[in-house]
Amino acid sequence: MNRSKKIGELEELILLAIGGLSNEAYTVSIQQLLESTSGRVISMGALYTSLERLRKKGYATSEMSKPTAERGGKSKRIYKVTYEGEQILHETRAVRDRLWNQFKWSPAWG
Amino acid sequence: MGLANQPTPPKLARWLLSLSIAWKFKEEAESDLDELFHIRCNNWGLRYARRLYWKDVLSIWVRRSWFEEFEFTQLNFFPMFKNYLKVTFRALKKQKIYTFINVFGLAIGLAFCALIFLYVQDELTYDRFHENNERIFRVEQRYFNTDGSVQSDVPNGPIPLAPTLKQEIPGVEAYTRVLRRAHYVKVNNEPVRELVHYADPDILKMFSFPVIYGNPETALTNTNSVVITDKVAIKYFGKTNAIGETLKIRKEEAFEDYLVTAVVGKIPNNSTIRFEILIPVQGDIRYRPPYIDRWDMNLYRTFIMLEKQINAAQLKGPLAAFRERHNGDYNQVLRERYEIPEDQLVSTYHLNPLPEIHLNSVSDPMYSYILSGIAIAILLIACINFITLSIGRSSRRSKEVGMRKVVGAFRHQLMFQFWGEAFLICGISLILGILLTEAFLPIFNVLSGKSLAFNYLENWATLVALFGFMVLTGFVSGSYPAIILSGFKPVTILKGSLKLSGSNFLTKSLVALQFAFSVMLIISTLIMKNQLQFIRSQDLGYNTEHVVYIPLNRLEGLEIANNFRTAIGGHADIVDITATGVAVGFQGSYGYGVQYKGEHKNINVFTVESNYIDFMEMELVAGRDFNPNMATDSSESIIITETFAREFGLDDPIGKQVPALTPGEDPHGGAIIVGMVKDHYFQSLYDEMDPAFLTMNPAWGHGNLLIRIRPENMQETIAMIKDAWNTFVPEIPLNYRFLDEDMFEEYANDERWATIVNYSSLFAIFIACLGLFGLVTLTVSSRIREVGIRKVLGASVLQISGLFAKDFVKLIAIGVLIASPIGYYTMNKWLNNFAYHISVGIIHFVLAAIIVLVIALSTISFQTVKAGFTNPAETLSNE
Repeated sequence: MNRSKKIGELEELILLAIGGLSNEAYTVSIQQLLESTSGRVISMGALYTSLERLRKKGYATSEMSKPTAERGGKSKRIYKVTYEGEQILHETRAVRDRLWNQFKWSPAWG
Repeated sequence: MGLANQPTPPKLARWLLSLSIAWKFKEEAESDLDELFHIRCNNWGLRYARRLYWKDVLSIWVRRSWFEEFEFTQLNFFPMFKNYLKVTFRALKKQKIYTFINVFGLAIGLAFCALIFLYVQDELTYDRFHENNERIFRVEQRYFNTDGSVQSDVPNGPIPLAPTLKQEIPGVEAYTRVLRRAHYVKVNNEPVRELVHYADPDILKMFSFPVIYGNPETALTNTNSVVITDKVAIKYFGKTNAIGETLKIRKEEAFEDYLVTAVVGKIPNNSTIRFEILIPVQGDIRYRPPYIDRWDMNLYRTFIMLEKQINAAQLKGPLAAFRERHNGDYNQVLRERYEIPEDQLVSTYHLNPLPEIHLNSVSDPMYSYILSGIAIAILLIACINFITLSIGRSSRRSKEVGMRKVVGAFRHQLMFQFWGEAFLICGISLILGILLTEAFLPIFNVLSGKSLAFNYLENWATLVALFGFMVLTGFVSGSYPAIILSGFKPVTILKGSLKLSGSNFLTKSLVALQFAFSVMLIISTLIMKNQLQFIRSQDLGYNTEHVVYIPLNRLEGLEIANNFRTAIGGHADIVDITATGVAVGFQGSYGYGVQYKGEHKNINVFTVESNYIDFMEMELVAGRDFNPNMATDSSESIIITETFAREFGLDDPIGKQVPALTPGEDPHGGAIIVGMVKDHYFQSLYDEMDPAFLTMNPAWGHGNLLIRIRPENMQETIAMIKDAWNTFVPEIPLNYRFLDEDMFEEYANDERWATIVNYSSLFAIFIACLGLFGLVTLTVSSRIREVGIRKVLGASVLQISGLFAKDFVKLIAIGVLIASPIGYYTMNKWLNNFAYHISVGIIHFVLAAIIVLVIALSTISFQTVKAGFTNPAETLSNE
């Protein structure tokens, strides 16, 4: 498959959130974490498509958890970051760092 | 936990979410959204939570990728597809009747739609091919009522209108006046009667007529130049490039030479102006004093072209002022007569945009609606066949559905399969439908009076529309099996506890609807035929049989009639000869429009000879006939019709002076009424009869010759008339018709529509019966064991046939009940076009019902009787 391996900004944030939540990363918790940290209300439609894309690119995997009481006896899909996922996060960060280091901060803005 | 009191997410949004059946995250998403909803409810309140719930559902609907959903089933997508095709073709092959009914019915429906689409497209694109169509307008006279509403538009204008408009109204770039007359045309050979158009030279600049040879700018500048079409060029000169050739046209007494200066190609059929021979307007017989500078005689059509930056609405004010300037006197007369207030317009010149002329004034858009309605009805009938038959067949397919589900088919896969099947059948029908369109087109052209052609490249819009119809039909007709059949639980199907008979409520109502359509078309057919028959058989009050009618083209009729009488009048095969101003028989007549006691009345004047009443076999009811020996009768006596006496309130008319006409001014003013004839229809039955009188006064000319002959030796008699004609009028050939021949041309339009409705109802009932046949076949086969048991218990064939027929008769009765009021309403509307018409009676509905019943019963009897004759041993033995 010739699918693009690039990662978008939202995908990056979601991947980071998954990593941050470790074993508790499922759609609702990811959404809530992103909402509380960035203040962005991410719509579920966007979240599902991004998660599906991450899964297809091989940066995240998912498996169903045991049914839990809080969801009315329904199981939830727990996401995990794969090795490739961590690699791409490193890469993106490295690119950003290089750019950060070159950045000429304008004295005018203090 | 107190779950009962907890707020719940919006129901509608929840339902919307549940609709995304094929989505693989569906169940997760439902619980995710619920959880989020509760979190948000606790943190931010119900309103916020509900709003975000909606937002999430909508975002899911928008963002979810359909492609990915299919990919999810990609594992064996293509092999499955192949399997669907195989199963579909097997099913189609196995049930040939069913396949035939569906494919053929839909093909006819689609073909109808294609024809109607071509028709409507032609109507809507009238005159659009003229490049300047948006700048060209027909200048019409618009008269207003007292309350300011439009009273009428008169399409003709006075001769000086166009040039004066160009002089006085800024923004008028070009103009042309247009009229047409029938003249004899020849080169060297025998003269032929042709329709000749007259126009101003700018016509070729304004309109986009395809000029092949010659310069359109200068083609009509000389008064003796003529522009012809390539068809005429070939007819008279044997070649298309006829520039410099001479065409002889007989406008008045003698042939005049015209020099061909341009040749144009075929003018599209959807052009308002369509000429074959075009000469300058200066040559017209009216284009001279006293008509040439009169503003009160409306003789020519006037077209103007505005400059590019001018908007027609801008000219409203100037045109009203222009009208007042040139027709002020008449406006004043009308204002006083109808008491129109000073601040209101009496009349104005109104600009009718070229692209709208056809639909505004020539063609009735009602016909487009009627046609579309018929086409949609027929397509619907075919669609209903598809649906009812699918329902009927569903018991056979349900096992397949059950198996597929057990093996693991998703519902959306089944929907895909059933809809795919429907689209396949529709696709086959579409191809067949296009072929049928080609086959029907020539007949349809005759019926609709158009010359449409189906060019696949040019009429891509039609193809697209047809494809659209096909997709729509496939969607509608496949929806029942796709939605309902795919939803059954496999357990109930396979256990056999699901009862699917051929006749549930949906099927019943659809069949009733089908028959309602058919009955309505049949009612229309019956009433239209009846009315047209009524018109034809109406006693007109005179006899038109075996009357040879010779238009004289501005020759004086009295003299010719006398010559004929002396030459052949005594012959045994000639009954009588007379000259008249206008021949009766709906060809229109000359007359006066007068005001009498505050009412507007039209008086028709028939200029006749003294033997006219005898000749036409009219009935004199009072007074006396014209007396050829009384000198005063030839100018001062008139004979009125009964309507005339009634309309003008003359109780004892004989000996009175003709009312409403001014002696001295009107040629018939002051005449004395000497007799009264019985009313006769000299107009078509569309209009209320107008008052009329007969006069021998030659002021308005005797322009036609009528000769009544005996039906025996017709050929010899005509030859004799021809000889006489050639002796007296050697310069032009004899041109004759029989008076009763084109009597009914007036009704040609309605005759055509009656035929179209007739054919349509034939097709409608045919397709409906095809469906019925299929349905009965299915019902009978599903109840064949019941029939067996009934037979064993002693039921007769008749009883068993009746058992099946009973249900269908009920449906047809419901169809008749639905159709009757609608048919009554529409047909009454149509009948109101006629001043004299039949009334819609119970008999029409009863007759339509009987026709449908008989056809339907004979359709089903084939199957039901067969069922009645089956040997119960056969149907019951296999268990």
